[in-house]
Amino acid sequence: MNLQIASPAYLTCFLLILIYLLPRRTHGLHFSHLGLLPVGASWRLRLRPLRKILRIAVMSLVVLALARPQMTPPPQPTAVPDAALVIALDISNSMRAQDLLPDRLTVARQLVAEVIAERPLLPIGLVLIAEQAIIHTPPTRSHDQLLAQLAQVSFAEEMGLVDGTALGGGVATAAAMLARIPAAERQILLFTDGVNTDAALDPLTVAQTAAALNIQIFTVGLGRPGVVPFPQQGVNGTYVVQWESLLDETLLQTMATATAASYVRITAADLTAADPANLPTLTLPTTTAVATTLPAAPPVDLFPWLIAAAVTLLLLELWLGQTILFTLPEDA
Amino acid sequence: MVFAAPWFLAALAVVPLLGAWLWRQKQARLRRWQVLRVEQWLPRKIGRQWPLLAALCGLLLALAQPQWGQTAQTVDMPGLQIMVLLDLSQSMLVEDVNGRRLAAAHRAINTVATQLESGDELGIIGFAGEHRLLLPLTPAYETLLPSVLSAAQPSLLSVQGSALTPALQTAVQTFPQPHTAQPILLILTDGELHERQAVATARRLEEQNILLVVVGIGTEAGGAVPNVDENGRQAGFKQDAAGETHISRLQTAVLEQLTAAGSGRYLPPTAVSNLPAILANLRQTHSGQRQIVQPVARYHLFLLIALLLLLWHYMRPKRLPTFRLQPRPRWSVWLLLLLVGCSRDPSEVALQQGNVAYESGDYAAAVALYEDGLGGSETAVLSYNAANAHYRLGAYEQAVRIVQDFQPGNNVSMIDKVYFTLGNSHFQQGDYEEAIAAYQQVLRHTPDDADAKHNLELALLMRVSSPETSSDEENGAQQNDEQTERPSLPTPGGEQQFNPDAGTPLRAQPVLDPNAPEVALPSLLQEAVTNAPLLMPQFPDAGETAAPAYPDW
Repeated sequence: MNLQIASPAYLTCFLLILIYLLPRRTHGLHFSHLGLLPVGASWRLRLRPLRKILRIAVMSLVVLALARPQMTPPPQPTAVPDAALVIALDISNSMRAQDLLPDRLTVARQLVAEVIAERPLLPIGLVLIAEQAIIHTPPTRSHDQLLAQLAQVSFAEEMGLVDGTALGGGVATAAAMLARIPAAERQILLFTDGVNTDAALDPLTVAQTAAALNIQIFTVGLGRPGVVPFPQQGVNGTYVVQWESLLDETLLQTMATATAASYVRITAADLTAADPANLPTLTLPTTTAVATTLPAAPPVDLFPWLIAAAVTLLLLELWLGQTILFTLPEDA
Repeated sequence: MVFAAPWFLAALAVVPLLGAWLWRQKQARLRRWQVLRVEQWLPRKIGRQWPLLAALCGLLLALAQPQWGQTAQTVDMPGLQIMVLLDLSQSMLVEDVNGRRLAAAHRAINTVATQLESGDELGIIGFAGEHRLLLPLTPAYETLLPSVLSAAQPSLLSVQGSALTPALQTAVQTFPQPHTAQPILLILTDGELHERQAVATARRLEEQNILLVVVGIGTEAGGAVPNVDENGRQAGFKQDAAGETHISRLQTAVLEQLTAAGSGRYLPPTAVSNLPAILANLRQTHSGQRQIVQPVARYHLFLLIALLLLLWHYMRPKRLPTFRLQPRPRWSVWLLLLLVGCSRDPSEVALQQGNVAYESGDYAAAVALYEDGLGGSETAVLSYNAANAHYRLGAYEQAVRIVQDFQPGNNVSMIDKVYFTLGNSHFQQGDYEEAIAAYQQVLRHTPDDADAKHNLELALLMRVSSPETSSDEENGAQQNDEQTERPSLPTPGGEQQFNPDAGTPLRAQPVLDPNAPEVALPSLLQEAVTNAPLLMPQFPDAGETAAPAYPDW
């Protein structure tokens, strides 16, 4: 919330109040020193300037109310993108590898959450890739619901699914959902760290179908090549073994280029080198197409409070002038 | 003009009350300080406060937020977003609508789905005792709808019952904020709701710009609710607490109340086929380009007027008293006196000149001059001085005559002197009785007049020692004896001096004498003075004695 002044031109009325402050001819005797007078100031005399202060305060509040201060609400997204996105997330066992800490799946979920946060009002869906593809969330603009669903994502075995990596199926499911959505830009974001285990559906074929539908497939390879630490369940708990991780980069690159998209590999170095939230390689081309622009929320006016305060001080000054701080001859 | 906060207009009633209070304060002050003649220091009319009261009215009017005029903004909101609230309570298994109520509900949803155009969004929330999001609001509903609907069974929800309100609140929150398309809530239920707060929630839908359509599923006649176990097998019918088979009926009244609160539409089971038409109507009226109008605030004028009134009221010079003490007369007063002095009337001239003659000893000339000036403004003084001059010349009868004709007029301090002169004149003529009476008048007025006392004693002695003519015949022998010897009055020290001093001739007294001491006057004269202008107020000018604490506005 920010404070802004809607009509600052009215602040020139403060000059009018300055007229009131001009010194005027006073009646009185001039004494070189008040110590010559056998008088002491009572509390009533000391409070006499209070009336003038109250009057200045009343007029100042009125001038401020004229200037119309407002509180602007926090910025809301105003552009409704003409696009749709489906994120396909690999939840196979290989995602337990710990070269990305704490494990690849957790990092992937964090990246997905960042992608969602950067794109308000964009319909985003979630597909999980195990032995077959699972539609976890269809594309929806209700990102609160989506994030709640994302928090429930875990490894395939823990979710009651059969372990595997059906890349073709996952991309096909995502593309099927996107095909129904009449948006100018439709994108799939694929997170995986392994190879395709489903021979029935060739990911490249799916990619070509998607290209025909103008759907872009952005692919992300997780983890570094070679041997990586991998947890194993043993008799006495989990222990870490060294395990060789295989990633079919060629396939991912081909899928991306076939659909006029891009491929990127995320390793631990990429995550620690820069602020994870600013991964430039993971930034999808921002959807420039805007379906409609929504009006911004109106700011909240503060002038009623200022006027109410002015009325209160006005009545207070009037009451003081009639009772406690009354003077003769009576002021105006 | 409309007022956004019209309740502040009621506060305007306070303003006349405030005026009445101010008037009462003034009246109380006048009563309390009456002896100080304070009314000349207070404003004469309570109307002097009108700028302040008018400014207060202006402030209250501005506080009520007057508005006129509108700003319009065009917003494009294509498409509909329909959130379906599907009743998944056990009562939906009643088979009174050519099959199960739930199946009818599913058919309704499919109908809606076919009516949607590309770009519209559909979502489904199933509710019973709890509620669950079956399908988030998505444009890709076609692929998912069959699987979602097949899973939408009462067995999906573990908590039974029919609680619509929590589901309603969740549904409102699933619409993306800000709205990207026209939100519509579609409630499919038989109306057997177990809590009634849904109406309050429905009332708020209109201000959030959410449309409401309620479709009633079931019949008035109702039917028994099958008791289906987790395996899907029916085992009799549900029974209520009394052991009777519960008949579940369509609650039309509840559903109509719901739609009335949310200003929505209610479709009875017979009109379910109208659903496509209604959706088309809603699409036409509510989606597409829309004008968002906002009223324009116009309070500035009232505030400006109030500010100017306040400024003027605070800067107005305080009311000056009608008359105030001048420490010394202004130059204009001196000029006036000079002019008055220059343009004296003949009686004043006569007085001056006569006084000059008197003091130089030329009493005859003084008499002449005094008698010339009689008839003017200084007649009283002139006649008194003439009487003294005659006395000096020895013309006591003249003196007596003038004094007896003497009219004191406004100059009442001369009464003593006049009677004194009368007494002396009578004494010199030998009329001791009249002399005694005159001296006694003086002493009645001024008891401590030493000269009058002295002369009175002398007169008393003379009266005793010289018998009157009437008693002379009776006391002829004694008279002759006494007349031969005039007694020498015993004097304390030396010869008794007769003090015929009639006082110095009076000079003209100035009309304005701020330093003249106050004299205790008879009541008749007191009234005359009261009606005359005050020369000296009863208390000093506050502006000149309370200088340090005096406000300088």
